[in-house]
Amino acid sequence: MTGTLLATGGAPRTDLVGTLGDWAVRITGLSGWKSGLAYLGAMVVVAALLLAFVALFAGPVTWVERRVAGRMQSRIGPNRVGPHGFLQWLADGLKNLLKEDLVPREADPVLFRLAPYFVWAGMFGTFAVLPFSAAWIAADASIGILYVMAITALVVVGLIMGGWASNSKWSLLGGMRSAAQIVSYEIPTALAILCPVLVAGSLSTQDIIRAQGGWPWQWIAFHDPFCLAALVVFFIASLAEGNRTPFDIPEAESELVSGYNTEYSGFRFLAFLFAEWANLWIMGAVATLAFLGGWQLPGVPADVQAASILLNVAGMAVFVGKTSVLVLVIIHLRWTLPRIRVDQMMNICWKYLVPISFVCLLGAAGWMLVARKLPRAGVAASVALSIAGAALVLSLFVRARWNRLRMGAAAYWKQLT
Amino acid sequence: MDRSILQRFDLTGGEMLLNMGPQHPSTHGVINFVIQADGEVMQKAVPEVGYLHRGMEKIAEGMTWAGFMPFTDRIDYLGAMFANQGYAMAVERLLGVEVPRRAEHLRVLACELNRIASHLIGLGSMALDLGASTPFTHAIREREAINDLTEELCGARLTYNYARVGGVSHDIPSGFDARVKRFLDRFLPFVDEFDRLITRNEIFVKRSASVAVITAAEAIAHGLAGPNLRASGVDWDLRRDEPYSVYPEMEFDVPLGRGERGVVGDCYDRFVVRVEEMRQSARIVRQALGGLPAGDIQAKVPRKIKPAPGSCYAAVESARGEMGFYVVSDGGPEPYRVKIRCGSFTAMTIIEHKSPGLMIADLVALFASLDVVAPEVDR
Amino acid sequence: MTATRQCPARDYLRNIWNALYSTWEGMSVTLSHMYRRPITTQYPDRIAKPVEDRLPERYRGILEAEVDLCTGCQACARDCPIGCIDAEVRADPGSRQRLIHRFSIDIGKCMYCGLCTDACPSGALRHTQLFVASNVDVLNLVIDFVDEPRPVHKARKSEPAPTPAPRGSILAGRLARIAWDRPRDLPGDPRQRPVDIKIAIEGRDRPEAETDLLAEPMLPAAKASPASRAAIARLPRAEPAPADAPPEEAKQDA
Repeated sequence: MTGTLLATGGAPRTDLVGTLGDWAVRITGLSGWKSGLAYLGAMVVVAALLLAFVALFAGPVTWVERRVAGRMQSRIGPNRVGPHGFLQWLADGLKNLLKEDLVPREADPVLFRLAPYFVWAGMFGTFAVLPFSAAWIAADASIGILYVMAITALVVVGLIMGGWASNSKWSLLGGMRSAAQIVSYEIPTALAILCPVLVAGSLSTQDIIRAQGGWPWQWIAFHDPFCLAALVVFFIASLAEGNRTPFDIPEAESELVSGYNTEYSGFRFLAFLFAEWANLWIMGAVATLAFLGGWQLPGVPADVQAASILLNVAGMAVFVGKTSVLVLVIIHLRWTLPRIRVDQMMNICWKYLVPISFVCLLGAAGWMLVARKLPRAGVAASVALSIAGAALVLSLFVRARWNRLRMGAAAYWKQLT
Repeated sequence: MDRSILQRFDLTGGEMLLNMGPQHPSTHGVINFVIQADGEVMQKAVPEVGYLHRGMEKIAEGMTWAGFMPFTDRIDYLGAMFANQGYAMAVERLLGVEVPRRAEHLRVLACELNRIASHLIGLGSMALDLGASTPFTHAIREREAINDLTEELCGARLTYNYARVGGVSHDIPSGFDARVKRFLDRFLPFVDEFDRLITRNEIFVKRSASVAVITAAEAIAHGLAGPNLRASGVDWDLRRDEPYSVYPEMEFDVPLGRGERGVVGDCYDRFVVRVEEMRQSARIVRQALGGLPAGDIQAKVPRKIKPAPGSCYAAVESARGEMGFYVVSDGGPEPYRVKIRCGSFTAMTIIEHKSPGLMIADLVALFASLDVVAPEVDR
Repeated sequence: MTATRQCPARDYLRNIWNALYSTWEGMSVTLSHMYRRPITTQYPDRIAKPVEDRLPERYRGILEAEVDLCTGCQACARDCPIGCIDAEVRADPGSRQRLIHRFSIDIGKCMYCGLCTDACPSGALRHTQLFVASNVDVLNLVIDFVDEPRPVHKARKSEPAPTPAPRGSILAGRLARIAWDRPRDLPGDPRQRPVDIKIAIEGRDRPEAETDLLAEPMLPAAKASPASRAAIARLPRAEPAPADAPPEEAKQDA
């Protein structure tokens, strides 16, 4: 990281902090160790931008989730606060901020107060290497994916602290369960993400995207069937990392009231929830950049995209669109599936996801060896896989339509005036 | 928590002692569990009941015979028709009154609709406790139709007070059978959709199949009744084996637990048996409506009911098992004793027996699959 | 269930297939619900017709008494299990005519069971379709339907039966007199709660029954048909009682 901060010897900057820092140095004319201050300032500005983005995502995504959940359950969802209930998240956030600052008397005073911030920092740290477009990434680290895996592990520390410091048996149980879950599912996540790393040949997030193209058959997901399986494994494992149903055992309402969250209220509770909602973006963004082509526009080379502002904006729209689709799928799964028991969750991780991800890794490597000899067969296989993927998605909609036709369009048995 | 319950535990090991309840999202009502657990696995879970005791049986001693009828609604508010019918049957037997056939058909119609409504809530709650909130809302939506139908029939959506000593209170309004048929036409496809959403969902199956298996012998030893008993493979249904009302004229199957995804008598069987019972109840409703004979809806019963001294026991097959009313009369205008036997109370006794070795998540599954309703436990 | 010992590989693959297929099936069901109209009734403001107008005729809402039709039989007060109806009917000493002095219903105690309306012979007492009558003071839930003593209605064969007022109009008139925040009056308030409830919570002072109530055999519960006897015979035997149960001691005593 520091290597790119200081003089780069004329190589073009690929990250926002560097670009902003260079411009600040040029304007203020600082030199020597003082130029580091300019880069520090640039980091603060970019972090503030990212914070704004995360906040503006985490709030409205709760609105989307509640409306989608409502429609799936034949009801409306929030619709009173603001147009179509859009400001409900502001009202909820404000309400949480205005609550009494409760710390249980028997709770550990330091750890109880610190825990939400560990969780939050573990989540927000990943945004440093998440790209938004060809030229818009906070820090183009050469170890991007590894950094993501590492910093999300900070969340475990926060959860255990929160569960233990609450001095409540139910919170303790919830904290231990969630620690076990997140630590276990780091393995299949990391193994599954190694497939795109293998195909792209680099850990840097931007390099992985540059190794793909805009068209679906150029995505890593459809590069070979092993990578498609790796996408599924990665998706399931990241659901578990983010404590989403069917893996929301730590917050299982019907068993533990709220798990590690139980004793928290007000702003600290908001911090936990904020981290959880923003994690949705991370899940979707990492899957998009690694498997679904990231910000690549079909037919436009990556360098051309990086140079033009308009194409950058288009690339960002593409990235946001793909990530949003994945976030919608995550929301859909939450309101469809029941919860898995804790030992079954361990079972799935160690007996199913880890062996399958090993097989995917070896298979992807083997496929790459073969495809190098037969490049056209490789492309044909990718096209076939992308058609199969599209067919799978289409079949879901066809079956949904069949469901609706069977039951009739009206959800209620009689006409409501 | 009553301290005396701690005597049932061996506290020398130093394991965690937890209180699940009495206010808890997944105990269906106000019931407390004292759990001794080693981490996730329990050593023992002892239910503690009595939080919802309202003294119903004592209240009966101060009411007139006919005046106690609205109170029977509140014994099990999800199966109020059954309680109404059971109490009415007991008093009618004491009086020696014969209920007109039209009234019997209407009672069966109302009871089977109530069984569907009760099972919808029971199944939805089990799905909700295991993490799936959507099937619950779908089940409630369908139950609204039954609420609307009973609202048209007797004026209330939950506490019906429909049966009277000697018959029923209201006849069906005009257009009622068309609306019931419209509901039934919609209902069977809904049950299929419910199956696709949750009953055959692999995660749900893995959470409930082979969990907390209750063998047939255990079920009988602990006095289980109703769908809980039939899920363990015991072929016993009061409607067929100790028939009352016009059930002998109805054609219906009695679903048994078959252990299709797990072992006979697991939580999944209790779920599937209830789903099948809903389908069979829809069948009975069609027959009851189709073959409705002409006649009175209430027999001639004296204004002030005063049965001769004696006692009588009448039981109906309610949604939660056998609901029995044992009434003793001393010849006065008020009952001398009314004892109510409910299926949920006996279901509580098996929880302590099954709990060793079970995980807390499985306790939730077991408790939800037994379809316990707290007011029935405590009366 | 097929034993896993037979072919673990097949079970492994079948688990994966079942999980994926049932997830797909469930997702299609919830997705289909996105295309259906929600059924929420946005009470109380975003509805086309007020809920009170949509309720069925037999709906057991708040009670109202049309005292013009009341015959003073007091059957409603007797039949009410809770005793929330106070119907005071006295004969005027001079004219020997029966006058209704008070007819008040405590809608806070009422459980809307309908036994009183069943008993009313003239239809004076009936349920309305109204269900909103909340108030800050519980005494305001006692609704008086009689302002001054009035004679009971006598149905004569020569006169046609009077048409009842529109259902709910009398109750609406009475409720309109009570502001929802009408404050509690000082002691000596003429509004009183109706008579003591009849339920004997403390325990009844009941004399011992003269005859042995259980001397008579219990009336037969069900027809012991051959079919039901056969069903009982089919039931599996219960397990023997566990070792630490008291019944063993009872057996030894006997």
